[in-house]
Amino acid sequence: MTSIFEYRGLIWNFIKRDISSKYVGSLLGLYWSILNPIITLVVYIVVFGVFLNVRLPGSTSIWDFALYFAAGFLPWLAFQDSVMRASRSIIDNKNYIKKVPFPSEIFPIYTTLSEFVNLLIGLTIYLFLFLFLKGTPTVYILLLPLAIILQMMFTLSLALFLSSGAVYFRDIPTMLGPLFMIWFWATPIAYTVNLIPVNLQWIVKLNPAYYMIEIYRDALFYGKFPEMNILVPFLIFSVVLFILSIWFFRKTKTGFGELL
Amino acid sequence: MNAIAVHNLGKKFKLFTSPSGRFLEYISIGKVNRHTDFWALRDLSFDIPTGTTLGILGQNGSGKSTLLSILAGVLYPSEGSFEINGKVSAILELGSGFHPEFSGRDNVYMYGSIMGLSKQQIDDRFEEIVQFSELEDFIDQPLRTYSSGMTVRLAFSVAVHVDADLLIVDEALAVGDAIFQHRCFRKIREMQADGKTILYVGHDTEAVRNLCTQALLLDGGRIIERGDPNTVVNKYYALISERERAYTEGNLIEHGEIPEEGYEMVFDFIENLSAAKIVSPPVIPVKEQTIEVNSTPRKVIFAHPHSEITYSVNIEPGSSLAFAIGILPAAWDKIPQGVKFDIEIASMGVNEKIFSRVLQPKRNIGDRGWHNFIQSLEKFSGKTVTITFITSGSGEDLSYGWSAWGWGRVVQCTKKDMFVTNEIPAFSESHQCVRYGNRKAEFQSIEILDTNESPQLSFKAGDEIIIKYKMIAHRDFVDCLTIGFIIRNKFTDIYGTNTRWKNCDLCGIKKGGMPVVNISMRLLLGTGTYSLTSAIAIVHPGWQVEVLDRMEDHIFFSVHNDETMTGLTNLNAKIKIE
Repeated sequence: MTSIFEYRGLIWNFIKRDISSKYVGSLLGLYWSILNPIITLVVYIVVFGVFLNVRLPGSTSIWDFALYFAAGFLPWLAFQDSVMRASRSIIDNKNYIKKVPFPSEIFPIYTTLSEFVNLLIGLTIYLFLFLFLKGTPTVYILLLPLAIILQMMFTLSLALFLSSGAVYFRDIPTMLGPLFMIWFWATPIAYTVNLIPVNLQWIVKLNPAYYMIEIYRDALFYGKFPEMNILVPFLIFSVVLFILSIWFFRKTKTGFGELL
Repeated sequence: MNAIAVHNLGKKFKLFTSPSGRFLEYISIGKVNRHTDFWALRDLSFDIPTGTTLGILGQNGSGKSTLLSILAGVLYPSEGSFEINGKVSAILELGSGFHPEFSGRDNVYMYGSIMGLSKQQIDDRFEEIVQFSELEDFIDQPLRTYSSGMTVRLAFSVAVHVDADLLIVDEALAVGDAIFQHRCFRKIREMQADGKTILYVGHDTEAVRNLCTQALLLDGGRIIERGDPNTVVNKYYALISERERAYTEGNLIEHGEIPEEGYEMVFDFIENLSAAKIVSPPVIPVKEQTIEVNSTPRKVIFAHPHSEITYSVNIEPGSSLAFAIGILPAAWDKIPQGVKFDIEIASMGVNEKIFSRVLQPKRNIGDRGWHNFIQSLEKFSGKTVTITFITSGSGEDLSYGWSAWGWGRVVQCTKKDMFVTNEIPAFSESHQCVRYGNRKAEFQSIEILDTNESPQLSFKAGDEIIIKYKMIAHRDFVDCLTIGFIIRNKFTDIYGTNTRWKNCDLCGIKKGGMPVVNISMRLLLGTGTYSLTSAIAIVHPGWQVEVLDRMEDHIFFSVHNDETMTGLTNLNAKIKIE
């Protein structure tokens, strides 16, 4: 990882180029990254809040549900987009990997980081929404950087695993679409945990995305310090997974040159 | 101080016939084997002192690019190791880091930072880079508007301005117009003067001669020559022309005789292939194939090592086994260790190997083409036996091999003086020169002697030398034998003659006869390294040459000329001024 740090200038250049190349030639340009999540948010809130009449326990306000949903959905969206794009990052950059000698870790890393711009945009949208509906957030908003760092580690781990795995098994990026759809609905984002039958709630407890989202909700929505049995397991999990993913990537990247 | 040190480097590629085979191997954690190994590089060891400009030559598929990719850190070696001291700048493919939508300026910054430069460092060199590429007027245009020559110029300019200690260039100089190429060479010379190490790979032998201080010739993933660029370039040309000639010749050559007259076919192995018990490698099945020998179609059994083909045959008295072995030309270059052909006969529980022969068509031209054999089966007569044809390789080195058993059959002898091909003794195990011929007579020793009759390999221009040929005849000859030689400087036949042209052919040679031929001459040559090619042949009417034993470039000797001169030969000019 120290050698990766030496390449921070290059990673930054890649991120800049990635972001600007994404919107080169499109009319609304960067505004799409704001419009996209807002449109999706509105659709979900209308379907769940208005049509299906989903409410939070002990609240009748549709705005409570809307904020609850947004606090989980915006990080999820960034998470899903990063992992899905990063999983292709090695395959898509084979020109570099086969011809230019520098650490290939850079590709999943910069793709993930570049997608995090979307998370920052999403969180800004959320904060505006919150200010408008609820007023000033509590002091626990200061937990946000921790939530972001944990999500970043989790996302990077998956990015490293999947981008390298995709070289050996090309179907991985394609498989991720349906998998993420299942994962999204299996995670209490558009609904609350208490809507799940009690004998199935253990499944939620095994889902790392649930822990990740909960920390966000505590910081952004509930305004409280996360429960220890949420924060500690996810912290340990993220760190261990991150170390494992680096090890896995190092181990498998020796085959990139010949397999791409 | 070495810029590069390479120890026993090897690179193995796994060849799969389908992606599903690869996947099966992954999920079975090595339990299932669906690949064949191919060693692109093997046993490479060399050091390159700092400041060397090394040219790497080799034919397509010799492992050049694999070696560069490993040194550049793009591929990982399968065995062995290497060390590089200093910063590397590699141009494996010019412009591969460029993005077409961005301007030349943006791409310079991006490419520079990929090469490990900071923004400040690129700022400092930007002017120089643009000037070198002569793209001042276009630097802010998107790259997609550049011609390919312009793109390459820009990429090369960045790469040479990185200030690396080791520059790796893969056939990149061949692009760009003449003026730009000239500037590239000048830049490379500047870098040489600064003590940088440069690795240049390509087919451009002129660039190697002019730029490099050392050269290395790769063939079949191994180093076959290393030294001063001229010698290596010559060897490279020799290799190409040799292989070209051998390829066309080798495909036609047929050694030994096929039993046609006086024999009667009893059992045809190819016709009965479907009845045989077959063991074959997983990916490449044993099958029947038709090939062409001397423009005549012949049926063969294609058997990639390791395979075993077992037949059950009833041997009648007076039977012989007639067969041919050969390796398909496409595989010649890929199997340095050759393929082994064995025949085992099992009768009443006793297994006996009746034939074993290794063909090494890469090393030995004589092993190319088709080799016919007839083996007596007299001791099995009256019995029902199983005959197994086995093709095998070493498994390791023999990563690739297509081989074939041709026109196999059991024949019955109606002719009394049945002849059985004997194994031919090798000339000298250590001597791996190109040698072919039917060896009805062969060389036993060849020496170049000085006037004191002592063997030498270096001479002074103008020295008297004697080439001494000792031979042995393996049969009685009706025809006269012609002994000839050629002296080459690897490009050109400088001088050659033979006993026929000198009217002293060897006639009436009897089996076991050991004639000695001494040829003396004066070496009127310039300074350089020369090779000797020798041959025994019978010249049939109409200059139909039957080669008995021919050894190509088997002795290399050097000549030193005290006199300064130019050209191939010293014509001893006398100058008189009036």
